[in-house]
Amino acid sequence: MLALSVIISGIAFGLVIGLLSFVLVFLNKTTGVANFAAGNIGMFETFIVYRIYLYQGDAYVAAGLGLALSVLFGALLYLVVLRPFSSAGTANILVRTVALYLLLAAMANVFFGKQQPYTFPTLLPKGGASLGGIVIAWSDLISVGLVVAIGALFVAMFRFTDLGLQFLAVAQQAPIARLLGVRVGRLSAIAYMIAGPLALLIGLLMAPKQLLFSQMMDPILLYAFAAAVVGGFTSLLGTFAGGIVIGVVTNLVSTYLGGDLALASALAIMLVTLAVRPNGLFGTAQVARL
Amino acid sequence: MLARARENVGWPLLGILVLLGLAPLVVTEVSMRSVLVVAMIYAIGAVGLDVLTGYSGQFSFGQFVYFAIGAYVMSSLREFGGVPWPAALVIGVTAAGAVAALVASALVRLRFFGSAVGTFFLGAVAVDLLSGKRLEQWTGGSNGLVAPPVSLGGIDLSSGMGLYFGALLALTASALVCLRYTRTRAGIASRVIKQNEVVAAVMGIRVVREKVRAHVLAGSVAGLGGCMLAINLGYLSPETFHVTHSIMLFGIVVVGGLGSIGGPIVGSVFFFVATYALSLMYDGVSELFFALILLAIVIFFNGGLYDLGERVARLVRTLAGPSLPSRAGRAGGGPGSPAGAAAGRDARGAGEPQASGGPDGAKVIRGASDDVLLRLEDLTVQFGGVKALDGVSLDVRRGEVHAIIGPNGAGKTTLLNSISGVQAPSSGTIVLNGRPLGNLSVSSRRKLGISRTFQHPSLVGDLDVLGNVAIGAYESHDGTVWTELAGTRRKRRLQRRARARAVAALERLEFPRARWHVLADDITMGEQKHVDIARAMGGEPTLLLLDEPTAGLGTEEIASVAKAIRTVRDSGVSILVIAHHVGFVRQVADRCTVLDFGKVLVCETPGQVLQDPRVKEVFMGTGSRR
Amino acid sequence: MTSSGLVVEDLYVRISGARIIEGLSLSVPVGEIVGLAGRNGAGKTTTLRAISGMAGRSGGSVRLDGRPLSTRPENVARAGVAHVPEGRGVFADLTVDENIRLGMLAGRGRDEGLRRRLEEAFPAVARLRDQKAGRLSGGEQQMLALVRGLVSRPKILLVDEMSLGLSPRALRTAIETLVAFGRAERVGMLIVDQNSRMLEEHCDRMFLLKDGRVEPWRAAPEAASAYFD
Repeated sequence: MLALSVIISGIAFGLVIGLLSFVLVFLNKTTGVANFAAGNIGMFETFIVYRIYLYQGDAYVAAGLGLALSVLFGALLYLVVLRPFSSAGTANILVRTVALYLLLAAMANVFFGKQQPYTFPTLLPKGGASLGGIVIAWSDLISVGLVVAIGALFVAMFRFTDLGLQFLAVAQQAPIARLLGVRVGRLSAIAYMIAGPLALLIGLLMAPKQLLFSQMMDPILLYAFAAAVVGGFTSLLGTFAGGIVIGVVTNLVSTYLGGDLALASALAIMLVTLAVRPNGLFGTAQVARL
Repeated sequence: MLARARENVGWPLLGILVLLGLAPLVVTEVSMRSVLVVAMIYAIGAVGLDVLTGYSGQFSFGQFVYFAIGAYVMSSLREFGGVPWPAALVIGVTAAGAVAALVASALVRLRFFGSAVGTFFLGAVAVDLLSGKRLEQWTGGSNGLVAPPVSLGGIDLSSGMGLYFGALLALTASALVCLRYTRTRAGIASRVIKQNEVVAAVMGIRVVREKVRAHVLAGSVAGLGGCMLAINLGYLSPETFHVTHSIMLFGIVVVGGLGSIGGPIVGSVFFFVATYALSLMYDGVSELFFALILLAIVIFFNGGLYDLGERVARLVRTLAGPSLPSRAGRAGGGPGSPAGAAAGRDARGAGEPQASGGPDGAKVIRGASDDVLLRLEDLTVQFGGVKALDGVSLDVRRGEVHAIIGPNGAGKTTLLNSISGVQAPSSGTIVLNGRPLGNLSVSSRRKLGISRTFQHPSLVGDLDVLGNVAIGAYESHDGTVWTELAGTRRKRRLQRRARARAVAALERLEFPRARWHVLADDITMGEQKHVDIARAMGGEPTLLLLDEPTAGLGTEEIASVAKAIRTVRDSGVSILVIAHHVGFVRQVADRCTVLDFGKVLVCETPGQVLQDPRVKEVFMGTGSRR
Repeated sequence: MTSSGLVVEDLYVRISGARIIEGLSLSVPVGEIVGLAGRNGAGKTTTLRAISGMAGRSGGSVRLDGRPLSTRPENVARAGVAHVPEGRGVFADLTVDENIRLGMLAGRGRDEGLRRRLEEAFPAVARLRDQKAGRLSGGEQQMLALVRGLVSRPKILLVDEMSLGLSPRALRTAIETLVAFGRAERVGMLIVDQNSRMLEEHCDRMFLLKDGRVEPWRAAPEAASAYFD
């Protein structure tokens, strides 16, 4: 019975991992670089929400305001960090995101005080439903519902809107998309405006469970990378499946073998995937560049 | 970002080390000295990371794993095994190198992004394992581990000047090994890999092995850094090795300047001194400050502090007047002289084609021997459902120039890739000298005498012409890197011989000697094609495969390449050449095969082929007439 | 002096140091179909890429209706120059319909009437609407790429090496439909191809690309020598 409830909470956690993983792959496909700072963007935004909450006292209003601000924050990061001299190459942009990772952590430490970690107010109801002897936490259930809804929204966007179609086109062959008049720079900005609130949402789901501090996103960022590899790094929706695999396995490992092996098991899954199925469960083969 | 790997960094490096040696004369404040000690300890690992990233083109965001291994292995051995510290240090460094070898062999197959993520991951896992219960017996878990002080001959190496010069000594050792590495065959080979892995493989370089070696070197010196860190701190805790430090180390290398060996040392000193100074003024903003500097440098000023220094030095030299011989002179003379030299050579080449006895003249002799060197039988290559080659049979005779022509997409480059081993055929056989090649690797085929060039030469831009040719002229890329670092007599002989072969190849192609020491980035396209051919010739092949040697060249340059090809043939090498340019084919080829839709259409002398109406149809189209 | 259509003057293009195009001048008036032949590697593809902004120009000017054309591909497309690239460039994982929708995004106004006329002209494409483009045959993909280019209501359509990999029969259908549609809708076209006979049969004017420059096209025997020396 324990195993089953561990698996269920693993799935819930896995979907949150999957969401961050989705952000990484989405940014990678639309802007050309997966952002190492994706987790810390969420962390920083969660701190902003926390500040707003301390100021006026209503966690839901703070979260709502934060989500609106995070759209701007995403756009700002793109314009200031990634856009200038962006022809410097992928490696350069990758290092920029790493610098941003450091910068956001340092800014959180400087602006939001040394008394970290903070307890963050729960936005989701406590307690849970008992189902055949297994207790399922409401918070898990709602977080699953949220992630599934977001996934569905993206599927709808890709399938039915012009914006989604342009994202798919850029993800597949950016040069050809440009030939058809797709403004890739503007699309990248929009991608970051979408990534901003998604990262905040992950922060809001994580913070009540494991406190709020500048390094809170480090483990989930790594899980998300592993999930992306398992999902194939090219498949947008494969990331959620990858997230579930990682979430369930690491949950089982930390319950039965000890928490210090959770990260190691995710790394092992990632390496095994790379060795056995280099393109992941859902990825398509990438033609080697000669 | 990964653009430059510098050649002449020895003197600046020496200068930096001497300055650090003299620093205690000026810096009398104890706390400032200990800041410099930490800076030097980080720099020990930073120079290794520079070799890995700047010279070998790979990423690591987890170097503190190796710092941790060095520190913990050394301290643990002393604490629980009673091993004397010098031995413990050596074992610590070795352990770091060994783990690096293990990790690298799993990660190097990934593109840089994969290895960036993988090493980052490893950094986090290592901290988890260090603080967890599993290794507590040796690591002290989250409580940490004591690293007792060390001394040598009565000098205390754990504090004061003993520590300072101990750290400087370790840094010097690390920097010299790294500098040495960049000058060995292995170091130059990894620069070719950084440029283009396929080209490297075709030159006989063992790509995976060289990449792992760079990781081992970087890991070992990081292990040494870890040992020094243990000696400095006297106490180890998992937080000391947090993955953030790994990223900072990478930042230090970038800020200091990649591909310069000395730059990362400057970066490290800059980082620790600046943060120390800031921490005196404000509390806790040092990380913020560093992150901002790093971001600003990556966005606006790619080259780092070392590059800044170079620019200043150049400015000073120009201000000091043109009388000083300087590297700026090279840059200044660059644009003018290559064109001139090339034009001179080209003019000679253009005048001579008939005089040197064109293919038709020489053909009488070679026509007599129908001795086949390379035979392709029924070769088929499939990509998905598309047949790039569809049952191609042809042969190349000894001492002939055999041209392959055909429209775009006819399968010409695929043919060359199959012969050189870059692309495995779906079916059919390739026989060289009576020996079926089967699925021999690229480098084994090179040993059997197959060399090739590429449509895009992929020279190492920051290496000079002779260096580029020499790295292609090694008989073998086997053997351990240690003997190379040590410079044993055998290795020196190998190096000399490669150089001699390179010189011979350049001389044979009559490449003007004045241009031998120009960086490949500064030579013309026509010269690049010559260097590419010379590089392939350095392997002393029996069969030379040329992929579009005339692409992007002007008429005179084409004539000059044609002359070079005839020279090579006259020295007894058989040549299979792909060309777009039919006039060029007429100049150089003894026989010519036309490919269309992956099939051989016709194989005759160029004259006959170009008269063939079917060939015209292939090139000019059938229109709607059928 | 109002010059309508596409005018290229004294164009120079270098790619990693190699001089590919040297002083190329060419004009494509609206409604005219211009062919540019040349051997493999003569720089045909580079010419089109330089016009549409996929390759950088190192000298010269490109104008559309007298106004300088942007060097950014997305703006070139929005200005009314559609480029059907070599290798067709269809999005293999998207459906035929989605590919065509992408063609309509260039911001030159949706024209459902044009789309209907295109579907009538290219019935094979209309029939395959819901197929993934990657599953189409080479000929069908070429048709799709042409439809996707035309549906953006371009003033000028650039077509690169459409004969590549097509059977003579598929090629004939494609070129005939394309040219008929272009004449009916008064779209100017620059069709670049190795297959000079196809161009001779279908274009209003024809040129040869040689040594990075445009030369007048000559009849059969001399044309061959342009390819073969």
